[in-house]
Amino acid sequence: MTIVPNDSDNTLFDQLVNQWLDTEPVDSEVSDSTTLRPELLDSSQLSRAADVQLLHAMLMGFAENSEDAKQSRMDKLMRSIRADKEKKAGKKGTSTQKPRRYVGPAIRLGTAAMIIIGFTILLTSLPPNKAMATIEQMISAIENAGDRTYSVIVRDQKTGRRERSWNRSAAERNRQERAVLDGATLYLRGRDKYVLYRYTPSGQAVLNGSDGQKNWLIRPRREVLVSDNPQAFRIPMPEDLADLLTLDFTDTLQRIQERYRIKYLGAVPVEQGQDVSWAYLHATLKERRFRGPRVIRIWAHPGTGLLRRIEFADIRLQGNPEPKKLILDLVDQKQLPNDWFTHSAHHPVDVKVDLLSEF
Amino acid sequence: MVFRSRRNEAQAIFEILVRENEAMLMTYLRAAVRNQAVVEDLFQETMLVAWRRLNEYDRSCPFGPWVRGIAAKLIMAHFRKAKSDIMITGCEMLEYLSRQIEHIHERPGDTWEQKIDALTHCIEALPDNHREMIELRYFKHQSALRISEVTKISLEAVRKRLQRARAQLLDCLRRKKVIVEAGT
Repeated sequence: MTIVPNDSDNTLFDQLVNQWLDTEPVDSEVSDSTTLRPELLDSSQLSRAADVQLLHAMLMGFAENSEDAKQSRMDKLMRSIRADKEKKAGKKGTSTQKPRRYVGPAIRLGTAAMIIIGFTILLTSLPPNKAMATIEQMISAIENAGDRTYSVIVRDQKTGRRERSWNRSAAERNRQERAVLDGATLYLRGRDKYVLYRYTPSGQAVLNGSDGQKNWLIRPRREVLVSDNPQAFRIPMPEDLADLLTLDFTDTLQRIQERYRIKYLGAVPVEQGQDVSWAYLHATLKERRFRGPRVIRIWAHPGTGLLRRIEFADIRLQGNPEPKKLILDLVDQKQLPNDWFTHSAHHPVDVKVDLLSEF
Repeated sequence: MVFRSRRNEAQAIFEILVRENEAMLMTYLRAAVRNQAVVEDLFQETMLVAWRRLNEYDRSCPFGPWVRGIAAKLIMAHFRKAKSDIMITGCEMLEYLSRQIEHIHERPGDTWEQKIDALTHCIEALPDNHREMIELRYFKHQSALRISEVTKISLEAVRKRLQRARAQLLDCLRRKKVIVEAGT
């Protein structure tokens, strides 16, 4: 039966669409051949029906909310792709050979068994073990790595554009002279020594640092502050990252390990078109109760585990409702001067230094 | 430094693209096809076809519309085999759905769930009796018939409440600009 709804009877039409959604495919309440022919619907009816169906689909997906179902779907697809590749490789491999007329059943059985064993080994050796092993390797690399310089970039999530503060108008610059993360440079040595150069919209540098013993803060035209308290002069992180990202990358990686489902996705270039590939990890937040971005992307050296790039997606910066992506990108590994992580290496000798005993 | 073969690299990039578009494509398929087992099969088939045709994909264009184009052809082919799974078919319908999904895709958020997060607020804003219907139907996966048995409300009333709840949710999503009005 083909139903052609009367244009004036939209109530009946809406009822029909909703009833269809709430009827199981095996139910006999709606005939198996009950369909609406699109050429007989006006555009308003078509869009109303489509919107209800889209909402139904969104609700079903929303309610599914199971990482296991998604993972199972992905695993099935990847198995099909691998089988497809093997099938193609098999065809290519035999295309130049004379066709064999007789293949013994024992050989065929043996080949099948080898494929099954190979697949089992492959599947058990793939993620999440590989992902966790990569994170562990990255944590070890932090202890052993030399000096590293990272560039901090903030991009608009939607347009991908950098929205650097110094592009703002002079009036805005005068209103807000706070140092920003975009355009900052982070220098690291080992696990606990760092210097972070941030800039105000007018180009004045604000430095946070630690020599592993003392934390310090250098601000334009003001005294240098030094403290023994490891919590002193903490860098104001975006709210979404406050509970996750610290300049101690070991700590950050451990938190990611605990709170995120991490998948190793092989060796991938950081940017499309680049020849060099890096171990790529895709991390999704396990549960909504954990604070932090839903997705984190990590690239690391596949041999040493050195962190090449980390991207925190869809974060909100203070006073800016548009979602942003915060990227830390390794730009240099040159050895820095020995005293680089002490405050005195970054200001003239005549600047007053205040040692804060209690902060 | 490890240099992988281009084929392995392509597979890794493809897996990233699939992960990023999985929820979007599932929504598209679920909106068009009722039978969930068929939706799962169509997802696998669509992505496998996309993988085989990856060399035809222009990387300067977004992946989502390309993969939905493949899915649309498979949906039409399925409709020819099993008409009961699809209520309204035809290119116009699938194109309309694709446009709505593209609009959602352009919303802020890194994941599909974040892009449709407004739906949570819309559900919370429903009157209690309508919210209960949505929760039973979608979050507890109950059929209308089963809801009727559990709540001791007639099947007709359950369907009516679900219909009204959906209408309210759609109004809310339109107000929040998650779904655009037809013709805009």
